[in-house]
Amino acid sequence: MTFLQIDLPAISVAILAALTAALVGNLLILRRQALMGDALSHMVLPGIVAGYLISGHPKTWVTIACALVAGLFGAAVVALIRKIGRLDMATAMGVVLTAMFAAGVLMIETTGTAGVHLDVEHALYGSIESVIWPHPMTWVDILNPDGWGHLPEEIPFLAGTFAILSAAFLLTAKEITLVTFDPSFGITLGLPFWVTELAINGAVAIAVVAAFDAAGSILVIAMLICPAATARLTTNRFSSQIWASLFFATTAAIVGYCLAVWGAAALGASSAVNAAGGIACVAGLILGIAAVWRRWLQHST
Amino acid sequence: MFGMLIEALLLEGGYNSTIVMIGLGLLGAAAGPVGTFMILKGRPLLADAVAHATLPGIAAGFLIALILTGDGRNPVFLLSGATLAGVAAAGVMHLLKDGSRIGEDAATAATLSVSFGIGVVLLSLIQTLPTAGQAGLNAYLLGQAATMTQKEAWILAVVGLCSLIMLLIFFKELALSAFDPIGSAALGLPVRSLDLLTTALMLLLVASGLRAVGLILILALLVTPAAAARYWTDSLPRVALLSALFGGAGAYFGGGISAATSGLPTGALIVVIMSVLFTISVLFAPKRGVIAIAVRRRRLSRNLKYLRALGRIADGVALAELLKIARGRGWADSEGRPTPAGERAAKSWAEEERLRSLYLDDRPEEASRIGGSLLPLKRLLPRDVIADLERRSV
Repeated sequence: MTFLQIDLPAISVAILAALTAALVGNLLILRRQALMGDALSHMVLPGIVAGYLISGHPKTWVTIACALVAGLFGAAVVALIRKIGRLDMATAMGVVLTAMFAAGVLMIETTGTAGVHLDVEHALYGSIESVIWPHPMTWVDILNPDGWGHLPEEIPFLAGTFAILSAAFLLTAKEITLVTFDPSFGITLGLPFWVTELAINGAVAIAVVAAFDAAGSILVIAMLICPAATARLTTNRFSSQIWASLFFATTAAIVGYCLAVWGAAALGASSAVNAAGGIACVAGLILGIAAVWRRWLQHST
Repeated sequence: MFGMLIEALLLEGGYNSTIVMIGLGLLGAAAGPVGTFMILKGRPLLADAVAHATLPGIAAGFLIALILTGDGRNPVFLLSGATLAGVAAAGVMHLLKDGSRIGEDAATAATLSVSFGIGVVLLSLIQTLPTAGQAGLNAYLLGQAATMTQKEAWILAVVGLCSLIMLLIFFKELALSAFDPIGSAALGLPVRSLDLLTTALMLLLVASGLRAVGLILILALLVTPAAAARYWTDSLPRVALLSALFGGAGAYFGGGISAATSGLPTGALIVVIMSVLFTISVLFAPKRGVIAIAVRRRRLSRNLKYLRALGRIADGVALAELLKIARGRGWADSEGRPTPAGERAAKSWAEEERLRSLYLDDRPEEASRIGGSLLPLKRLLPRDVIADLERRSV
């Protein structure tokens, strides 16, 4: 029964990472800042390395805090270059994301951490396949609380992050909707501009950092953008867009994982292909179908 | 290590690394101006998407070369695969953006991540094949100039040189069409072809630079030197020249350090050097630099304070205050007599007044538009307009 020990926890991690990223991705799509997700997922790298150097372990609260600080620092530098340096947003992001990623790479290479616990390829591709839950032998065992303590740490962590972000979304649903559609509205609510910016970039950074460790940056960027963009193409209301994006994210995670693991074998490959890549492909395929469908709809009316 | 670095920088570090460094220098020098044009066109991050999208092309090129020649590591196949995949990604991006619903940013990010995902899947497939050389493909992620073959190094140098030559030949047309596409179309320039030429140059530079710089960081070659150069001057030819200098120097020195340390990723070193150049530019550039702007703002606010005081004196508040200001600026001595500096200031003020009244007579509409500015007219107007005014007054 390897499904329960290997595939089920891996699919759970994939689904949770996809849900977390897709939820905040909705904000990026509507604010037309999709590339901020790309930028943030590169900018956290020096933070992760620094956290590892401080705590000596790649998966600790210190690492996560450092990654979060690095992400917010990067976002602040982008804002600063935009405002004081008078560069456009895209150029500023390009400069900052490459600088910080390069710094992270050099930190890995020069401090001797390379290959031990951290390597750049792992950070890019992720390794959902390596998540295992040795406990359950039969389906009934899943319900047995004795095994819950041995759950792979990624699952409770991602589930907690998703729950916190969802709660924040539900509690401030009205404000989020208004501020997203009209950024200046926050100012009339008495919220300074930077508070809204910090809150939204902070939410994205939290999602990126949480999903990054388990799923790798590629899956994070794909899941930030593709499900939300698909939902944007197929729905007309903000609330239904969010629900649709969560649905598309879950579908992509399940179908992508199954195709990568069993589909590749069925096609004759000697072993499974990279699951994060497979999930990104399926998410892109769903987006492509939605884009074609919308074009066809526009043509026929 | 230091000795090796000097050796490498003086091109004495061996035949291979010499070609790599010259190639990197040429590539960086060509990427700077191309990046300048991409920023002008408002698409600085297209290069990022294209670079990520080359991964499936590289993997496919490896597989095709493996089937046809028996060895996957054929730089020609890999380079063609990368270029074709880049073209395909640019096309998909164009189809995907749907003005009202999905912006260019989302189309770019989606294309970037999904094509990279396809590449990762293909790479993991290649990893399972019973063949040699697949480990070398990882060099395309972060770039490793130290392990480049001679053939790969020559491709780098030739592409860099050819791009530079193309830039020199078509610079005027490229600059004009990037700045003002509508105007240059009216002049009869083939704007679409020129746009295509810029994109093609960008693609070629990205694809050929991957092996040395890596596909994640190659964006910096196009964006960072161009953004840094923008701080030093307002003229497009000078921005392009400076970006070529920054880009060439950053890539050359990064390549040299990487060759001397023979392990540090070339791309990361190049990007760090370029980012330092950028930071220096943002902070210290005269005129557009952050510090220069802050100094200017302070001076302006001080001037405003003086003018306000002068206004109060004009309202008959106090003559003593006028004297205090004049003394504070060194315009008058303790007894209220004008110093040489004061005389100079008075003279330049009279000159400014004369120019302003000439300007008002000559072009009343323009003059009313800048009337509120406190800056001297000589800083506000182009030199030829001032010369024109002077000529008329004589």
